[in-house]
Amino acid sequence: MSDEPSPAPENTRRISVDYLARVEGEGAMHVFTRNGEVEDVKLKIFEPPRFFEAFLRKRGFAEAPDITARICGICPVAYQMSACHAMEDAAGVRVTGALRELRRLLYCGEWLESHGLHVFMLHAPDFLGYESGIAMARDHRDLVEMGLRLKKIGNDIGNVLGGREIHPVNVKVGGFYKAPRKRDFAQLAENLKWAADAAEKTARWAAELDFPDFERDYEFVCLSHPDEYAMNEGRLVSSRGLDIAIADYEEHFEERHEPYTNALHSVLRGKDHYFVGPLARFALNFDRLTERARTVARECGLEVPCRNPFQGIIVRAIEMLYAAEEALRIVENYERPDRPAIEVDPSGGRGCGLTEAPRGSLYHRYEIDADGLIASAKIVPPTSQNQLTIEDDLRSFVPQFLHLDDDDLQWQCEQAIRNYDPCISCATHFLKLERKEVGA
Amino acid sequence: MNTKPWLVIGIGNAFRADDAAGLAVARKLAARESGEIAIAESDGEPAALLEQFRGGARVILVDAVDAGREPGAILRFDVSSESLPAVSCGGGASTHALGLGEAIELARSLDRLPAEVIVFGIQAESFETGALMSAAVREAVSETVRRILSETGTDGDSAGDVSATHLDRTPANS
Repeated sequence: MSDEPSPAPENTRRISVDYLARVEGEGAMHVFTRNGEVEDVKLKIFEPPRFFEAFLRKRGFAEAPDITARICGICPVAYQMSACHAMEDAAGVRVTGALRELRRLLYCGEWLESHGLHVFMLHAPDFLGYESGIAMARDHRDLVEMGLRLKKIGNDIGNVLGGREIHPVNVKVGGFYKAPRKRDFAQLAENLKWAADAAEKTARWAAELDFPDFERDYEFVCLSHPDEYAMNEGRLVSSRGLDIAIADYEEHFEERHEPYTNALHSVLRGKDHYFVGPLARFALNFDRLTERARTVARECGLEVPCRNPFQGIIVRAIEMLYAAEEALRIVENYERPDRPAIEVDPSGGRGCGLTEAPRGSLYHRYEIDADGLIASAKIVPPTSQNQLTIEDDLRSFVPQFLHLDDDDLQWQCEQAIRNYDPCISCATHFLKLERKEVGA
Repeated sequence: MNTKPWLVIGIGNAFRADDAAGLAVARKLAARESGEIAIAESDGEPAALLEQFRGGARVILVDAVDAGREPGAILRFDVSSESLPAVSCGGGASTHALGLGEAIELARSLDRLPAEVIVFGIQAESFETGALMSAAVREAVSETVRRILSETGTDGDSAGDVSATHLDRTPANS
C-alpha cells in the first residue's frame, strides 16, 4: 500500500482489508488508535460522481434524468426524480394529479427493491453471523426467498412503469413517455398485498435480533410534506429546527473537500455533520406513515426517534411495509391521465430538486442556457452527506470493541458502516479497512 | 415466457468503457433475431439476474472481466456445476454489493441455477466512466458473438455477419 508508514513501530497493530464487503461499491476506511483510544477515523471514497457533473454540461436538459440514472444501479429512480424536479423547478411548473402519483409509485418500487436487497442480503448476515447472503441462504432459505420476492415486486413496479427494471427508460422531464393502463396493474395489486404482509413479517423478525447498546444524538435531515410520507416533494427539515425550501439548500449546506478522500463531505453550515436516510424519515415523518406501519413499528419496540443505527434494519422493514401499502393505494385509485407528460421548458432557468433516495436525500441543481443545454450541474448524493456521521459513529463505537481480535473488530466496524447502506458505488472505487495501534 | 432453447444475458454498463462489452454482444445477437436464442440485458444486479435465470434452461452470460489477461482475451467457463473462478466481473471488483460469481452461487444454493450455464468473460482494458470501448474489446465482442453462434449451433446462414451496434459509437464524451 502506498500510504503505509514504514517501518512500523513494534507496538503498532494494524488491520488491512482489501475491501469492505456487502456495501454498494468500494472505498477505504482507516481506524487509528493510540493507547487503546481511537484517535482518528477516516472513511475514504476515491471516485465521487463529480464526473457526471462535467459529463452533463452541454447536454440537452431532457437528457439529465437518463444520464444521471446511470450513476447508480440501485437507485436510478432517485436520480431521475431529483433531475426531473430540478428541471421542472427551473421551468416554474409542477407535475400534479395522476402523473405525480405514478412518480410516487415508481419511488415505492425503488424503496422496496433497495431496502429488500439491503435488509436480506447485506445487513441480515451481520446479525445472523454469516459472511455473506449466499452463505446465509443455505441455512435461511425461506428468509432469502422472501427477500428476493419482495425485491422482485419492487422491480415489477419498475417494469410496468419504468419500461425497464434497472434503468427505467420511461421517465421524462414533465412525466412519462407513456402512461400505463389501469389493467397493467392487475397482477401488481395482488403482489403488493403479499409484499405488505411480508414486510410486516420482516419487521417482526428483525425486531428479535440482538442490537448493540449504541445510541447517538444525531441531527436528522429529510424531506417533509404535510400530507404524506415525503418522497418527491416538500421542505427540508431537521430534528434541530431546520425548515427550508429546497431552493435554499446551498445556503444551508456546504461541501468540503478533505485531502484524504476525493468525495466531498457535506455539512450543515455553522453546525456539523447530519444524518439522512430511513432513520431520519422515520424520526421526522413518523406520523405520516400508514396506521398499520405505525402500529407494527410500535409493536416492534421502536422508539420515535430511533437513535440506534443498528435498528435501521427494522426501520427499513417498516418503510417497505409503508411502500407496499402506498403503492397499493396508488394502483387501486389509478385513473390513466389524459396525457403522459406536461410540457416543460427550463431554458434560461436555474432549478433544484431534492428527493428521498432509499438511503437518503439526493440533491440536484442545474443551470440551463437559452438553448436548453445544461450549463452547470451539481449533485449531492446521500452517502456523501452521511460520510462524516459514519466516521463519527465509528469513533464512538470502536472503543467498546478494542478488546476484540482484528477479525472481530473488523466485523463490528463493517456492520457499523453497513447500518447506513452506503452506496459508495455512487461515489467510489476501493474500500480498505485499516487499524493502526500507535503506542505512546 | 421464453421458449427458445438458449438465453444469452449480456451484463454491463454502457457508460463505463469496456464494461459495455456484455451489452454489445447481446445487442449484436438481438439484431440477428435468431429463433434459437433469446436475448436479455442486465447490469449484474443479482436478484434481477436470478429472475432472468427463470427464462432458460441453457443460459450464456457475457460480461467484461479483469482476469489479468491481454485486453480482448475471451475466457469461457462452464459454471453449471462449478463456481466461477475468482475473476472480477464488470470493473475491478464489482461495483455492486454482490458480483456475478456470487449471483451464480446464490442461484445454486436456492436451486435456481439453470441446468447449463456458460460464462463468457471478455478481458477489459478500461472501465473509465464515460469512455468508449477499446478497440481490442470491440474486436472481442464480434468474436464472442461468433463463438456464441457456434456454441448454440445457430451460425449456419450468416456466420460472421456481425453488424455494428450503437455501443461502438456512444457514449459521446467531451
